Amino acid sequence: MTALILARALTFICGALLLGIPTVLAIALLPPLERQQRLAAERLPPVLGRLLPILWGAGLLGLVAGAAWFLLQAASISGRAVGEAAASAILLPVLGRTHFGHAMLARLILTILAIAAIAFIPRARTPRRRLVALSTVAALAAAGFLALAGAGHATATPQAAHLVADAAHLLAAGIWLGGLVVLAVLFAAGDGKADPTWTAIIGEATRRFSRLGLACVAALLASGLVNGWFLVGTVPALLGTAYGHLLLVKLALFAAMLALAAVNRWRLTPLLGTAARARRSGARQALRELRRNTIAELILFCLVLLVVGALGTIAPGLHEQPWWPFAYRYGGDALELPELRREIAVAVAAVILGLALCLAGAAWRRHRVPMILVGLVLVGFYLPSFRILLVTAYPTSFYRSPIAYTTESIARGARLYPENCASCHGAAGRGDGAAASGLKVPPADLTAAHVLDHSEGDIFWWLSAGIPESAMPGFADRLSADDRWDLVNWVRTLPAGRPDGGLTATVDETSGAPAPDFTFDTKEGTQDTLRNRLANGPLLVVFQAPPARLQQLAAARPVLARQGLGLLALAGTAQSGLPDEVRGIADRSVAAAYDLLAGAPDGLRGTPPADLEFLIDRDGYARAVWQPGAAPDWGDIGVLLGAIARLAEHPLAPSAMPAHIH
Amino acid sequence: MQRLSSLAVALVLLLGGAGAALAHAHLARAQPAANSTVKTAPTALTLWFSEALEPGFCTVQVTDASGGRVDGEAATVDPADPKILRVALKPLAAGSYQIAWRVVSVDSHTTNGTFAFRVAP
Repeated sequence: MTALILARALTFICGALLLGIPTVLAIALLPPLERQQRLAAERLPPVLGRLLPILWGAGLLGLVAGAAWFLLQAASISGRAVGEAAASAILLPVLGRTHFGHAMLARLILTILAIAAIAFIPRARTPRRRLVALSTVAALAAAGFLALAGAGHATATPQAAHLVADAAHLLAAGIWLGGLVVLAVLFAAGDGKADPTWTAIIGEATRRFSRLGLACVAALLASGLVNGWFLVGTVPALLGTAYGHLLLVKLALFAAMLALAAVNRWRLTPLLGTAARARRSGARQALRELRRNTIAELILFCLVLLVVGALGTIAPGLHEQPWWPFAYRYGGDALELPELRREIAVAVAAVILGLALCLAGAAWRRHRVPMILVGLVLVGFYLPSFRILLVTAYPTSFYRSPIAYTTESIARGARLYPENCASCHGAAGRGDGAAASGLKVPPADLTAAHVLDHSEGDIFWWLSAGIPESAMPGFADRLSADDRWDLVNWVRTLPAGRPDGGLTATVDETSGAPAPDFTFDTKEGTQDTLRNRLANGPLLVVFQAPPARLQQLAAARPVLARQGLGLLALAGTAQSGLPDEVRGIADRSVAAAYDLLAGAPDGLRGTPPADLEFLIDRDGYARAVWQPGAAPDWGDIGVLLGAIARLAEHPLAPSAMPAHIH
Repeated sequence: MQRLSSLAVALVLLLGGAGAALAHAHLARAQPAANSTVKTAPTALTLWFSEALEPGFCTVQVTDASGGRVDGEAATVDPADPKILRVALKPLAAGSYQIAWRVVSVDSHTTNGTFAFRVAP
């Protein structure tokens, strides 16, 4: 792993130098220098004399590092040790038959061409030829460097934005790194001999590079934002995963580089232009400081690229479970209440005013002390108001369940519940178990709507670690993590069927519960899933309907299909009365889980009722449920058509579809 | 909450760039589904991944309760949709089956995983 990180980092550093040095020479130094031919003839050869060996070295070392990267990655792809992989026949197939291999091959060829083109730089006798030679090296190196973006995540999900961002990020980083090396050499060349014209040209080159550098920083920020969006995506992933932590280290290093760059740009570089004539010693001093800062920036840059080397070898934060490091998290639900919204608005205004007073106090000498005092009091008084925006959080608050929300998982949770939970929470989850009466803190009513206000990660934490100062114990040592997630899935199914405002036979703007996924057998003997069927549009899922109802639905099927509604009738055994393609045979646990969703009277009714029907929208939410006798009567196809129309008008967001299973 | 987190992460990331990092192929779904019970024995196993796969570097092993291999020929990546991996199955008796997969996504990263399904006619 360490070897792979080093190989990647070296490949990036060498690629950046090969691209950046000729680019910055051509754009920043040559134009001001070649206006003065005598000076150019005298000063350019020593500068090139120091830069060309670096360029050769970067090219050749880059080839070695790239080869090492390829070898280590091929070993990882084949699942063998490095020595074994090198000796086996795996290298050629990886090179010839994978996207990674193609990208590395393209990079190899382009880098060899770029190295060959370096030979033309010292031979170019005219400014024009010199420019052509430098541009050729830069263009070939850039193309080779960009091939690395073709080996990245951007290939995996062909999103143009990510690919462009990756490419822009590499180019901008390359130009910046190369520029730093050119500047470090220039500042060294300008040291010692205090030639005002030469110092002024170095100042001019530095200013030209600064403009280029600002563009690079802008490009790095914009493309970094896009990359971060694709690979990290959320604050918990940034704060709670190894990938996020490495990214924070990278951001801190980057911030330090920006600080140094700002000192160079706005404090030291201006001294070169003015002091060159007025005070030679001042210019010498500025050159020394510029050189020192530039070398510090170079070291930071190499550290950044080392972090980049490591980032590429671990899973992006987006795919990891984020371990939340704080006792609180932002909970914006408070803002839904108007009076709390007003309180926050007042607090925001007061804190802004307080900070403004502090700043004004710092700027003006008159009334400084009272202004700052009043400002601090304002901030100190109103800051605690923001406390209502915070809710208690746990390390696993942002975990996503690795166990898919399926009827199988709910059934497993239901099997674990009686033995582990029912003594306190009650057989139906209402918090009325036999052991509940003696408890100081009553056990939670798991059927309350409030349960759904907590993330699945919150519930997982309580199940794992228990709740302090209550009788709720932690089950981490008694139940496996998978068992606990099964219980989470079961608990989250209970509130959907609560009698007060759970699912009804009417589709409205707010009601909906994630529909647990399930597998069923089709008439042809193949398997299909609910999720797969929902890809075609919303579904009416019918459990155990009597033949008369099935015949009615079969007759209405063309009308329902015109409204975009599919039909899926499930039973424990084969039934008649419906066309084959809408018929499914499902395990009994499927009907039992959906019975729970419909609010079975005792929560744990053994046999599902005859005829239970659900409207499930294409986002995976159960939006309405109907049993014979419920109003409005879905037995009237006209009523059903009205409900379908409202499904389309009032979608619920965000999608209830689970992201992925492991 | 979601929107505010997104805004916050946007602000944080404004301070610097993310790495040209690589992602990994995750199993999005399977047929038969993971941990499912099916009534009819499937003749093939289909796996859907979050990213495109490298054909020739992906393997799937399906074993029965006694550890015997029941997968047919080598797993193949769908040429039309390289996120889909298929493997043929020998005729399956009732019982539970364990699947171990190992795939290489087009960004050259290797992921693996296991799951099970049950055949109960």
